[in-house]
Amino acid sequence: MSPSVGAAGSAPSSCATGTVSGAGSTFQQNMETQWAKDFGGECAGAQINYQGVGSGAGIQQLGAGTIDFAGSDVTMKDAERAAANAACGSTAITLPVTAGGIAIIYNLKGLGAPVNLNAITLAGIFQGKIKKWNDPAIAADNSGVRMPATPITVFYRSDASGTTQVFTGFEKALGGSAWTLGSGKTVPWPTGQGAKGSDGVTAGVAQTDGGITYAEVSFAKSNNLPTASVKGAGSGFAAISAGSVSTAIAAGFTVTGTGNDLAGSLDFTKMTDGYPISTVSYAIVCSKYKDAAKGKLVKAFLAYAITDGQAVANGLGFAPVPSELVTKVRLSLAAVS
Amino acid sequence: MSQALAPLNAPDMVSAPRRVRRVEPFRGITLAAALVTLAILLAIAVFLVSKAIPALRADTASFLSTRAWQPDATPPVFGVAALAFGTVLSSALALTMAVPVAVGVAIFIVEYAPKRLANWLGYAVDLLAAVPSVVFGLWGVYVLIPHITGFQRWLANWFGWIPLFSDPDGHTQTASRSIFVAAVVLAIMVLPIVAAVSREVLRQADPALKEAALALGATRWEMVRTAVLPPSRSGITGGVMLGLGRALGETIAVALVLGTSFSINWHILTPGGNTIAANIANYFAEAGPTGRSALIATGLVLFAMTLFVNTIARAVIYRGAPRRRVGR
Amino acid sequence: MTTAPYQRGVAAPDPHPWRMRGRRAFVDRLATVAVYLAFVIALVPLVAVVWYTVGRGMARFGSNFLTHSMAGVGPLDRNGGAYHAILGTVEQVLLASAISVPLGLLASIYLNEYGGHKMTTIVRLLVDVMTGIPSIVAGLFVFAFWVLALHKGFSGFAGAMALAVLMLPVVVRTSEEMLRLVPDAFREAAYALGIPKWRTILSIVLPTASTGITTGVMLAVARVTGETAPLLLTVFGSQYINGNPFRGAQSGLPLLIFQQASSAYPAAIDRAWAAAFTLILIVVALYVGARLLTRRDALNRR
Repeated sequence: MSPSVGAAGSAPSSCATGTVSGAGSTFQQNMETQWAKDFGGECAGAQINYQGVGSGAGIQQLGAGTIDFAGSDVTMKDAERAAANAACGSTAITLPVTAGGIAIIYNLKGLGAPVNLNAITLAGIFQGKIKKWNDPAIAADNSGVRMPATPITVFYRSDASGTTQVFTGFEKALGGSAWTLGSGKTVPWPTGQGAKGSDGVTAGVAQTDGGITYAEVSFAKSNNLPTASVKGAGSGFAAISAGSVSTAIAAGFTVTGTGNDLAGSLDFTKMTDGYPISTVSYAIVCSKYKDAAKGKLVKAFLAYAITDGQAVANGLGFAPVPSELVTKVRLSLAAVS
Repeated sequence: MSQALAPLNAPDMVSAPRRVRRVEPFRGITLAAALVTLAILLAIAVFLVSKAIPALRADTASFLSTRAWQPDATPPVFGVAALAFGTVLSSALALTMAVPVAVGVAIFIVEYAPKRLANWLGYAVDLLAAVPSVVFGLWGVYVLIPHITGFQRWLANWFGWIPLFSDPDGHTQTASRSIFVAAVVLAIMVLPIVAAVSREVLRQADPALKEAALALGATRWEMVRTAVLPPSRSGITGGVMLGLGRALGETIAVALVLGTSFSINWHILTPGGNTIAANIANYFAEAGPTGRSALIATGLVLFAMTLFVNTIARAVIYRGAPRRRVGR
Repeated sequence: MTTAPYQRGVAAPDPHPWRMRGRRAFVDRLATVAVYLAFVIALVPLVAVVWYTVGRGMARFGSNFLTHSMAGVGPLDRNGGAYHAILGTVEQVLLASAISVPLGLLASIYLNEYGGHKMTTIVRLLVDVMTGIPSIVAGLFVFAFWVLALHKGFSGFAGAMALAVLMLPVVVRTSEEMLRLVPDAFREAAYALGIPKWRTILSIVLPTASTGITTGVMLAVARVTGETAPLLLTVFGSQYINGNPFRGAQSGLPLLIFQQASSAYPAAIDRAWAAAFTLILIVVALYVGARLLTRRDALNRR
């Protein structure tokens, strides 16, 4: 599927040849693969090799100098930043390249419309306090729908992941006193079953009537499972879609980095419009590469990704980066060499 | 080396009178190989110990008895208790299920199967070793778990009075990613190893001994029991140790199949529990420096367990005495 | 007729040995059933897993799959193949075997035939411990040592080294067991004829143990061909074809399977199963090759 060429400022301004390797977040992996394909189609001789090994491993490998850029769902810590700067020989900058939402995927026979769940109810479900689907707390948000009495089976990620971090970050911000697990790549889940990878938790839900989990929305679609409409800081329940995620990011994401560094923080309490469990994913690059040819290719690739590449987001279950942010990223990229 | 029974000395030259004692080149080559092997394995051991020490120092809780796993938190709190327990339990269950079947298969192929088919049947069982571990994990998730759910439920219902099989929270009502399922997957992976090694060992049984037993009127099973199995005990144990090594070190398959949690879970039909190798697979990618170091420390615990079991096996089965050395 | 003294383990002389009576016959029948049953039980998972793999793998398996790589294939695309991964796996496994099999075999010969002092005990101990090494730890060792410390970067060879680390203890252990099984009478007879020790080992001991050693080596090869974790940190993975195992990231079939199977899209999952089927075929081909190479009836004592 080749992107449209001809819209203002969208043709790849430069092509470069060579091979670069990137590694990191599995969340943005599909986008990276699609970009690698499209960019490689436009610029012959360019090979972009991205491996989804996990944000932590990606940052570690960037700091060790074994890869050219990292993909990450989280920003670097100070020690990691120092290592990356040392390996790059210049400042490592963090650029948001895509956005996406974490869907609440469930399996419930006998229910027609998607179920509505708010942050406090989710806190109760995922901590085992709400045990059945016809619990009053759930029924309160779903008036007029007959909820079956099926027991709820929670599936959580047994491996450490950025997806867990986003979901638990959301709960920590908006779950109030109902949420006691904190946030992080892994938390001590008191109930439910662990499964490895988004594919694992979704497979578990698919096999279990009454199962519920959190994962990227593309897994729901391919397993024919419904996703819940979630209420966070806003007033209504939002279904997950490219548009609703973009709206939420536009409101909730603030850049905290200085200069060309666009690392930022997510504030779930500000996401009053749009889908409330949304996040961005970053690419971490060197501002000046020791190998000029590699620098040229990384720059060209990401410049493509942040412009034409955003058009493929919807089809893959992601959301385009909000346009003000795109402008900032393009400016930062211009300074990369 | 003097021994009770004076061994024949192997001459190192065929006919010429021995004037100069030269080091055989072949012996030198094999010695070099042994030394290189030693160097490699020692390097790995040293490397792992050095990588594990930072975490052990940083741990604010007792490494051996804590069940939680938060090495990258401040302060770091993590321990190997739940992991070691799950590793031992899953491997013990796997071996309990696999070894009798594997030895039975080996006996079948060597003694009972029609001679023309025996080799081919052996190859069929070897085929099980050709399946990649990730495929076992995927098959376990998509095929085994849905099909074994009924069996687990039945076990919990009828034998729940045995604490091992009890299911207090009703988890077996739905698909349960339990230690039992992980052990079944491990058993299937261990089976071809133990079967193949046992098969080769049983093949080497002394035919004179077998014929003597038969001549005295033993039934086929009695012949196997008295003439074939006893001398093969040490070889079969070696095969079991290899199978144990596989079970202990299996990373991906268990990580995919087991519903992990950091708890000491005696109810093998319910989800929960974890193994050292699966934990490494789950956490390695996202771990910070202390986290990685902590994972390696758990790897060392695994080594200690392997060492312990193997030492006992060698002491009990090999009766402590190495093979009588013949020649220089 | 006086009754013979009781001897443990040997049946008492039977006045009618051609008739098996009562309890002994029953036990014998029971054992026969048990042994046949064991074989059937062992076949069930084999058939189940292989059947499932073939069934799901045939959706994408074919010449197109075997001759194309994943270059230029997007996450939603239905094309793409495993050529780059097949190339990677074959190169990595062959290199790993070339390193570990001679090394392990020679080392086990030393341990079993020449050894007898402290060093042998230590090596045996280390080998025992290392048979249980989690596969990811082997990859980690090579990553820290070769990829990082020596700055060699990712390569197929690094993966081969990680696989060799996994194979070595198994090869040493099984070879030792098989060499141990060769009766001393063989060796003593050879010495009595004046054959030097090294010649005895090469011409008498090794051929006798060869089928067993081959089995051990094949078990080790089969295991590492299917290992994902050591490859993650050493070959890195790639969608592109890289025929040079000494330079640049490569792919491998287990890695491809794992990555494709974690995807949300059915097309990727089909590719994963086709790759799994391909891997099994490769290992079977290696089995057949090994058996053909070492077919020796000469000193086989059946």
